[in-house]
Amino acid sequence: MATLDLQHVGKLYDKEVRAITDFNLSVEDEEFIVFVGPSGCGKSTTLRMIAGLEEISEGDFLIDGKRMNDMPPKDRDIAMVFQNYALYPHMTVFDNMAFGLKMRKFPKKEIKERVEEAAKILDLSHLLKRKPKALSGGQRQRVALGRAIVRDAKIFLMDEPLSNLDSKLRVQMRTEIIKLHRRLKTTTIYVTHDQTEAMTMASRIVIMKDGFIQQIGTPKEVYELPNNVFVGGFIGSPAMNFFKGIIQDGKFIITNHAFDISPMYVEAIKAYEGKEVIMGIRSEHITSQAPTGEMALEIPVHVDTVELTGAEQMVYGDLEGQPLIGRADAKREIMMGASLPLYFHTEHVHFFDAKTENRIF
Amino acid sequence: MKKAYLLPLEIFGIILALIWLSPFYLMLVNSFKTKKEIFSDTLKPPADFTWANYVQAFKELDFAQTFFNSLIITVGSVVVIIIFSALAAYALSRVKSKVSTVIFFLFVAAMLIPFQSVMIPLVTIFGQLEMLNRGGLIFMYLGFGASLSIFLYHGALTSIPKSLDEAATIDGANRWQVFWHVIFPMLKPITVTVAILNTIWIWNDYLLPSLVINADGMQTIPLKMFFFFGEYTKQWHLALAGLTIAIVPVIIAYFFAQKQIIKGVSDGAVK
Repeated sequence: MATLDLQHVGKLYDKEVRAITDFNLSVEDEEFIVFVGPSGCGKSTTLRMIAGLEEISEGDFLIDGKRMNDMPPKDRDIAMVFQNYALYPHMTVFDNMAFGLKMRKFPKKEIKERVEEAAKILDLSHLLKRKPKALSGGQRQRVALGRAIVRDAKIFLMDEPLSNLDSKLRVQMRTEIIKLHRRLKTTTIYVTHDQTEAMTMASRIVIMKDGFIQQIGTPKEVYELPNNVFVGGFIGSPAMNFFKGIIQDGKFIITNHAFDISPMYVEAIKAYEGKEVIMGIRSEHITSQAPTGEMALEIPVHVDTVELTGAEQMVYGDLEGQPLIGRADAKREIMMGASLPLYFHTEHVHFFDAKTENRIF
Repeated sequence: MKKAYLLPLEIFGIILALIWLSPFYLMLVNSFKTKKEIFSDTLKPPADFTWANYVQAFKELDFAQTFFNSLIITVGSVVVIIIFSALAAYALSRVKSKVSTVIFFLFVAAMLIPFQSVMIPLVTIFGQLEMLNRGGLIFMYLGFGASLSIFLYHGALTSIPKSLDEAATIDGANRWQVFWHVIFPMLKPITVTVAILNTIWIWNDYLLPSLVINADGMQTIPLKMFFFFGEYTKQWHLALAGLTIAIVPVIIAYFFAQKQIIKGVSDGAVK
């Protein structure tokens, strides 16, 4: 049970290569924070700084209000799960889980009790005498989790723990980790490049790119109100559609199509009169059927390909040369290469500055 | 069909084994003969088995003491080589800097220096430091054995992911504990290889002990064996009996440890 504070944290390699810039984050007790971003965005580096495996070049890092910058990893009371599990191959499952307790000189009896308890939670009781190489991927992953939970540490750190599993097992372990967090309520920081994992697991998401935080928010917040074009494109599957156009007379114009802008935002958009902006709209707001009780603009779209996902079809097409993904009813017959009228739900559009790519509204 | 295909290979293998074993046959057979018998016909089996050669060789070799000397020097050197090389290779593989790269290449380069080119100054310096005989010899073996051993350990260590060190660090182990509890046990196949290579070399080495050991009662088996070959007489019957005695402990040791040795060597190959 712990709170974390990262204040103006930065990371420099060899005093010149900058990996993290001005990272600010306060983590409440019992939160499940997910760091997400493309590879090389600095999410793992930040996690490793929290763990004490990397030095913090700038700023302060606090656990429960106590500065931890120079504290060695073993005194930070954290447990970590690694991407490759990092199980000790020459030790049995029991010894793997007991190692941290042995190093901390726990009495034998307590070690046994704790390991057996953790094994029960993770359904590993029958495997305690096996060595890691005799386990399946999912079982190894559970041992790695077990090694973290026996310690009863204040904070759990997880560095892409599911990326080595096949997709079915990944979904299953995802649920198990969420359940585990609900049960133990340990403050957790979880790193992934998979936005689906971030959306399904996080109480709050930290989206990173090139060492900068792009947005911090609940999954709903970052999905519905992305701070910039990057977040809009990164969160959600398929990615948000973006169209470049010009503001004219308070309307958004793509060649000969004019999108009305909600009266709420007329003031905000005034400054962009005559300038180029980017409009973002999610695929679920470009549909083949007119929405009920909502404003929509019908535009004929050239269809490139159609993918049937089961309940619906994803329509890949383009609007005046700008690619888009929309959705259509599964029953509807759609000809590839033909033109299809699609409804753009104009109440669900986002506008971004074309230069800074930051959200206008 | 498969069997017919394998037959020539099998015959070839048997011939090869016979060639390999022939010196042992000569050693064993002639160790039971008198000196005269050896010179009349080397290949023929002895007329009557006599243990007299063995009794005399055992006495002249002062075998118990000599064997103990060889054992102390070999085991001592191998243990020291393993400890120092594994630790040095661990440090060199985990601390990545220009200095560590240079040190590593120095160790590797040292493998190319022929022993004969350094032996005279080496023995002179060690003599001046009064570091001859047992202790000095073990120290020298560490120096000569470390290069190859560090090279082997370094190769194995680079394939052990660093996240294991990190996991152990977070589990509360210090550097020393990380090494002994996590890393060193994983190096077991290489440790076996290093132990075998160095044992064979040190157990059989003649030149270095002959230069370094000058105190009586300190000689190793290869050194003592030399006493059977005088300037005017070569006592083959005693020498061969002595050699047989010297080989027996090695064969017994191999017999007991063969499971570990074979496992160690093959484990190293698979991983």
